[in-house]
Formats: sequence, structure tokens, C-alpha cells
Amino acid sequence: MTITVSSAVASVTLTGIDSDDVYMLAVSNCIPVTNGQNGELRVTKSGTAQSDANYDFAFKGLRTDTTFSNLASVGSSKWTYPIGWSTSNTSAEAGVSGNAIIYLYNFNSSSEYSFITVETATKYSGGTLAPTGGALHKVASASDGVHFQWSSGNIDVGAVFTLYRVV
Amino acid sequence: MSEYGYIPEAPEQSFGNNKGIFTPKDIYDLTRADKYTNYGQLELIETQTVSNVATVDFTTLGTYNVHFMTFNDIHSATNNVLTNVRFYENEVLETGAVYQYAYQYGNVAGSFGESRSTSNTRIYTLMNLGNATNETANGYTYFYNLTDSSKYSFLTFHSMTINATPNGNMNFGSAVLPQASTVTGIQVLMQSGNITSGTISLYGIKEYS
Amino acid sequence: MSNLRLINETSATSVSSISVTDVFSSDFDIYKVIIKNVDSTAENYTYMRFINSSGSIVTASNYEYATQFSRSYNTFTEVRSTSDDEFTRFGVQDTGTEDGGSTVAYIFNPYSSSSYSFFINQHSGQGSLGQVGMKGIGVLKQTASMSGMQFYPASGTYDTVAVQIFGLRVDS
Repeated sequence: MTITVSSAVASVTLTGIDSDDVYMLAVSNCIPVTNGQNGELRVTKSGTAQSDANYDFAFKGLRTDTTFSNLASVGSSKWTYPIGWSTSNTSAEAGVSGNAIIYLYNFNSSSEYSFITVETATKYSGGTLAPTGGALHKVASASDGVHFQWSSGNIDVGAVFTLYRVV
Repeated sequence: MSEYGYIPEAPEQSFGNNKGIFTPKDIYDLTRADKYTNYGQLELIETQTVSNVATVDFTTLGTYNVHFMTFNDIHSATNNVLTNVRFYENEVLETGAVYQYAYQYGNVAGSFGESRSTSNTRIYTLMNLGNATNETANGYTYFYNLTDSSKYSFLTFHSMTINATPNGNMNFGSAVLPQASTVTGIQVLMQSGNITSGTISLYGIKEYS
Repeated sequence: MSNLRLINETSATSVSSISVTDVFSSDFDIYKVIIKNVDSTAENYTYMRFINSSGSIVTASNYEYATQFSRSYNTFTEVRSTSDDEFTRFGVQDTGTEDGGSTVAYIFNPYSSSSYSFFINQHSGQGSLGQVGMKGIGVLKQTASMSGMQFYPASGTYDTVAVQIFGLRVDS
């Protein structure tokens, strides 16, 4: 499934996970309309984004400008940093974007948590940032997709989200 | 007699460059010769859904230079262990302290660090895993040069698991079996105890050269 | 049917560099690159530069990158730059036939003339002291269309090297 943003939108939802396979989410050219935003990724269940406080993550923040960061959280209402981290908009710097390869595990399981591994490359005012690591949603029920939004403002035109089943 | 619809001779056929009219037999013959344009370069070799086993062996590797393996919903009988990998070289399992690895890890409580070894009896790939309900290991691994007898066998890997605390923890890293050999099989096992359940899939990335 | 579409396979022997040109197009936004069968005359890193749509290798100081450089025998290091004229950590190789490692990378938006070209890479290799790994990212900060890439060792030449380029299929 591919969603290409043709006019600025508040969020993108990709569903259709209906098997026990590993899935891969590939994101390119994802830009916030509002400058300096973090990406927020959530699982969907029956097509609805979940905003409970059960999102945990651990990312090594590779970055071009200074010592790498450690990013970790327990009990958040979303996964912060996949796809974007303080990402600039094109008014601030032409050419910027957030990009990611995210693998999804156990989403279809009705008895397990939903896991992801994350590799991101995103541009911000001071350099390029790359949250790299993993996350989980600690609710033991099936998830059928993912929902993405920026921490504030819309997703700009041109973002491409594709959900693959690894087969 | 026409060949692929051309009289007398058709142009040379090759991957990405097929011209003419093809019968099912033509397609079959050209595909076998790797000359027919078939998309799908990630080729599933084998999926194993395991239940209460000490080891899982993948002994059909084909002739791929690059393999990709996914680990989904791995459960362990023993608490707080890592998922490991070892190799069969010419059907003999390498159990010596010859494997090297290095990985970055981090957990959701904020503890980050490095793990490494220059002489281990196995490669630690997926991060620590607890043995309680919902404590699972998930991730992927790339393998390189396994079927090349003149080269070492390399890996890169990336995982997300729940440890015994229970906390989510991740790692990404790389490893090598620094022996120029033909790897004929991949063995997956826990650091100790059984794999109680899980699904592991092995793919080859096709090449045409 | 998988979603990887092979675009190009190139291999070479006894070369100072290997270039893959005319591999990026409007057909794909994301590419997968595999570098393998690497053997070289000197122990050093594999560097990378993009090739633009005019066929020129991009040598401007517009490369930005960050790599977690892991080692089996020593503490890890961070390698980073905000203005280099090449990407310096695409892989590592020593001089033996047996010790050439491999790299998997994803390239984002290279063909777009309105976007920078981003990449994510992972590598496992062997140096004279032991196993070396890399997990990194980078960007070429030019809003220009790229058509390919060039890979080359920081010193010496490749005895052998091979590159595969795949496009990731999207639903139109």
C-alpha cells in the first residue's frame, strides 16, 4: 500500500496488516509544514490510531553535528522520533525531509505486543539526525497498521509512505 | 521457423531486455537460464515455525551471496538470554571460540552501551529476552558471503525485544566468522535453554552476474 | 512476488573506483544498494560520492554524515561531519581475499531535483585488528537530481567489487 501526499494533510494512516508476516514501512520525503517538528508514530487497531500511554522506545540518536544522543521513554502516548526529529521545513531549508525504514513485528498477533525496529535519516537546522533502534506498544492485541503525524502542523506535499509485506 | 516471433533469429534475450513473443515454454526456459525479466529479487527460501526446540537449522542456503533473515515473536524457555547464531561449515557445526561481534544496545529506561567480543563460541544477535508472557524477540539479520568458500562470513543485525525486567531493549550491530569457508547452514539457538516458539524466515537476494 | 526491482548489477576487477550511472530515475523514490565481493590492495574504508544527472561526480563539500563505528576489539567511535566532499564510511576492507565485508544501504529521493539525497547504511567487515561494523546515515545537501553513485577505496584499488541497485516498488 502506498500513500503519496498530494496536498498537505494532518496525518497519514496505512492499514492492511492481516497476516503474521513481518512488514516494512518505507518513508521518503516526509516534511513538516511547520518548522522543527518531531515525528509521531502510532499503531492502529481496527483502523484507529491508539493514543494510550503504552508506547516505549529506545533509539541511539546518530547525528552529524555533535555527540550521539540516547533517546528513551516508557509509557508515552506515541513513538516519538521515527521519521522525524526536529525536522526542518522547506522554508527553513530547501531540500530537507524525513526518511525511514521501519520493520513491523507481531502486529497481527492478538496476544502479543507490537514491535518495530527503526532506521531514520532526517534533516534539522543543525545537521542531520538519525534515531536508530526499536520500540514497542505494550498492548497485547492485534494492530492492523500505523498512523503518522508531525508533533505540530501538517505533513507537506510530496511525502511517500509504502507498507510492504516481507514475503 | 521463428524464434520468439522473429524470422529467422530473435535478438539475444537477457534480464531486463526481452523482445518478442513468448510461449509458456519460452518463458520457462528463459527463466531457468536467468534471461527472463522476472521481478522479485527477494526470494523466500524457507520459513520455520518452531515449538520448544533447542536449535533451529537452516541447511538450504542456495547460491546467494546475500541472505536476509527475519525473526518474529521469538519466545525463550530460559529467562534473560540472547538469541544466537552459529554456522555449519561443510556440514560441520562451528562451535569454537572463533566468532566476533560488536553491537550497540539501549533500553527504554535509558541505559545504553556497547557489547563486543573477539572470541566467542556463537554470535549474539537479538537482544536479551525474558521468558514471561509477551516477552518476545524480534528483528532481522543480513548474512554476507556465506556460500563463498574464499571469504569470511559476515552479518549485520537489528532487533527489538523485551528483557526480564521487563523493559524493551534494542540493539544493532555486526559480526563475522573469520574463516574462509563455505557455510552450508545457519543455526539459531538461545544463549541457554530452548526456543519455546517463534517464526524465522530466510530469504536470498538474487543476483544475475 | 517481492517488491525489490533489480535495476543494475555491476562488478569490476582491478579498478580504482566503481561507478553505477543512470540507475536513479523517476520510477522509484527509494533504492536499495548492496556492495559485496570487495577485495582491495590496501586496508582502508570505502568512500562514496553521488553522480549527478549530468554525469558528473559530486565533489562539493555538501556531504553530511554520522556513523556508529563498532569494533569487536575496542570501544566504539562516532564518525561525523557536516561538510565533507565525500562520504567516508560506506565500508571497510583489508587486503586479503577473504576479508572483504559487505554493505546494505537505502537511498532516498536521489532523483528528485527539489530534495536532498539521503542514505542509511549498515556494514560488516574485517580489518587487520578484527571485526568492524558500521551503522550510519548521511545526506548530500544539494537540491539536484542524481543519477548514480561512485564507490572507491580511500587508498589502493579494488581487486574485486560488485554493486547491486534495486528500486522499491510503490503502488501508483
